[in-house]
Amino acid sequence: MPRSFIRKGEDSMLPFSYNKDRCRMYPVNPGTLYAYWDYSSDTWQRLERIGAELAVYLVPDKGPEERHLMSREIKSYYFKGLREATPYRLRIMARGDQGEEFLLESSIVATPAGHPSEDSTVVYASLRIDEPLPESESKSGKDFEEETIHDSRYYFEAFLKGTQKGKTVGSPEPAAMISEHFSHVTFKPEAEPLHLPSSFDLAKKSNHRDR
Amino acid sequence: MTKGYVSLVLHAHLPFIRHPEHEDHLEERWLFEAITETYLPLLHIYLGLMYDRVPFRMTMSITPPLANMLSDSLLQERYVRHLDNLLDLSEKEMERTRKKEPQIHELAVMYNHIFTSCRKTFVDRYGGNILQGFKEVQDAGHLEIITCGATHGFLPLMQHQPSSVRAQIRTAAGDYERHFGRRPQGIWLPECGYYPGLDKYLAEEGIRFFIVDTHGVEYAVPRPVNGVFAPIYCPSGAAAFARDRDSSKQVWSSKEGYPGDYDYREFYRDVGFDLPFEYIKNHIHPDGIRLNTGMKYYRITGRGDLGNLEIYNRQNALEKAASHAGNFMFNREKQVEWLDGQMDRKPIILAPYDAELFGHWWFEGPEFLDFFIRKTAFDQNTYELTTPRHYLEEYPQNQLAVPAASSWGDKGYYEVWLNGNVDWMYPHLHAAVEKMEELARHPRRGEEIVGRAIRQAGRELLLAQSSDWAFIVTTQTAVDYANQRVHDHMERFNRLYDQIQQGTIDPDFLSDIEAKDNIFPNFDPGAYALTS
Repeated sequence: MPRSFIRKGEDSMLPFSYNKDRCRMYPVNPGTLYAYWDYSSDTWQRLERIGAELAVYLVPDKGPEERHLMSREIKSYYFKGLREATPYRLRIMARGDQGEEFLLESSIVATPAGHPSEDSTVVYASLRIDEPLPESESKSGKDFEEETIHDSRYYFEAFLKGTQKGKTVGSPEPAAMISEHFSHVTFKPEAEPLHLPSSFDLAKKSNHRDR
Repeated sequence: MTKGYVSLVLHAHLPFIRHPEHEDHLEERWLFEAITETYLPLLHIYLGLMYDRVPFRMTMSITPPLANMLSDSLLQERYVRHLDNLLDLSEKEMERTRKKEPQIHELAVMYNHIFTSCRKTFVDRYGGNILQGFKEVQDAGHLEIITCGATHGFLPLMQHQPSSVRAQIRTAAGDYERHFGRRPQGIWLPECGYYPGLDKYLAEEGIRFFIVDTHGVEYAVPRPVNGVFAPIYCPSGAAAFARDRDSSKQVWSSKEGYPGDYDYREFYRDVGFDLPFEYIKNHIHPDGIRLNTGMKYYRITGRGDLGNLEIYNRQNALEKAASHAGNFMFNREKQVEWLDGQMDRKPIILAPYDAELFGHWWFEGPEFLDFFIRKTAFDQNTYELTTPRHYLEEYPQNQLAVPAASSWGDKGYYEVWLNGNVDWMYPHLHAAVEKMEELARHPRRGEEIVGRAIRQAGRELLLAQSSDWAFIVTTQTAVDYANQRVHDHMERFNRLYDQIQQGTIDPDFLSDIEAKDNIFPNFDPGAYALTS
């Protein structure tokens, strides 16, 4: 097995590898995603047999994919210069003399937003704090799939879809929870968000009002 | 008739540090310092306001690790020993300075009074468990205590493992109930770390509101019409409140913030470093390591070096705190007045801070709060103090939106907890979660010793997940200790896992780590069994 996960601060008491095929990706900031991966011994042997290096593809939901070639010893990577609020999937291929062969794939992960949304839909809902929320689906054993895209736009669109159609649209489905317990949902015309003006200067410490 | 609301939120947190195996563990002092310098002074302020019948409402998170340490009898005993040592030191200092250093003598007397009053409250009034004091203030309707992740785990880096997020939230909510006799209605997300979808797990536990950094709401989808001055409802029904940038800056900013005022006490000059070793040796670490005692005699003075400071003048500092409280109030009034009429409701200005800023780092911080609350009550009519819960009671209708992925860490996202110095931790933590999911469904989990071992494995995993370890490594403070903690908990977890799976549980090993890592006595690993 390769030396995996040996990084600063680590000693040999923790395993080098967990002997499982894993590829996980996480947002770092609007322009950066971090991914790490590990192999089962079967996959690692296959990788060695091919004599391969890795072709790592970062695939956005729209637009061209990025391709990074790297040594098969590498097991984590920071992908920088990405588009904000964009879902990406990582696909790792073994690249040998015979071409490329699929190894691992991450779930879809969105980079965080770095700017206000352009979506100016206004939806109000009422919900009394003294009334309990109904039990969600997961309490009865269901759950979000690992494939869930943790992206604000995705969740909001899923909610609207469920509300407007008056039915749920499958897991993950925020509307399945919300439509039952929000007492009413109203759509209002688009509006501009409220900001304190940049000229809004706070009184300096020396200008405080008399005590 | 007021025109808006201000909501103060203090986040009280320390990682779980408890080392029964050492008589005097250096890092346990973090708790002792915070009790003397922050938690008891804040409690004194709250009790004083109640005694004077000052109307006030505020919010405070007391994280589960902190609550578990504050209610732990070993740490309580050790704190009293620590405090008694400080009392001895202050008496020695009163004697040493009586004749030749009258200004410093006055300060030594002040510290002696502070330590005496701490002892009275801690021992005589609350029998060692000051959580009871905070509960008293909550039950009187002035304080809304909210919870946090079970061990302050950074939840965005658990987003692919719902069981892990659920265990952090569910364990926290259950532990809150054990301490405060009711379910929590709000949560301080560890490091304000949010990812879209997280609120679902809060709603599962009946948690109705949480707090995100400013851009968590500013960059929400769709963009909120009221900016950060009203909460938004997430699809789960939980409400997100955002930090107000201006009120934060006035307190936090190293340039413009109040705590840097030259009249305030200087943190980095302490008798533990200043006085001769022979004189101070019984009041620092027994190994001879010099450390902060909490007795500090100098004011910030200016931008010069620490060796050239003027003696602290308590009266001047308190006057400055009152002045800053007036300034803070005035600026909140100005904000509320500007917002008045531009919204379909009264705005809420949410001002969250680390509790330990008040008293520990900013010595006069508790008095600043006291002045601010009293001035708010009696010197103005523009706004009232409220809590997120009360605001939601008044305004049950709110805009629906999904907050943006965010944190209140440096640069506002996740890099404080995910960077080249700390990323080695996550493959181990994530692998341990997968193993914990197996353990939670273990066919022999009903057997006494297997159940105990599974519960302890869960505790070790939760402790390893604390965001503090990555934070400490990233900020290069107690790096070795933080790295060691992750190793220790992961190794204990892995050893337990192997023993459980092989049917070879070592009862001595189990008892030993149960005694060491005794957080969450009622821990239920069931949350790890709920993934699909």
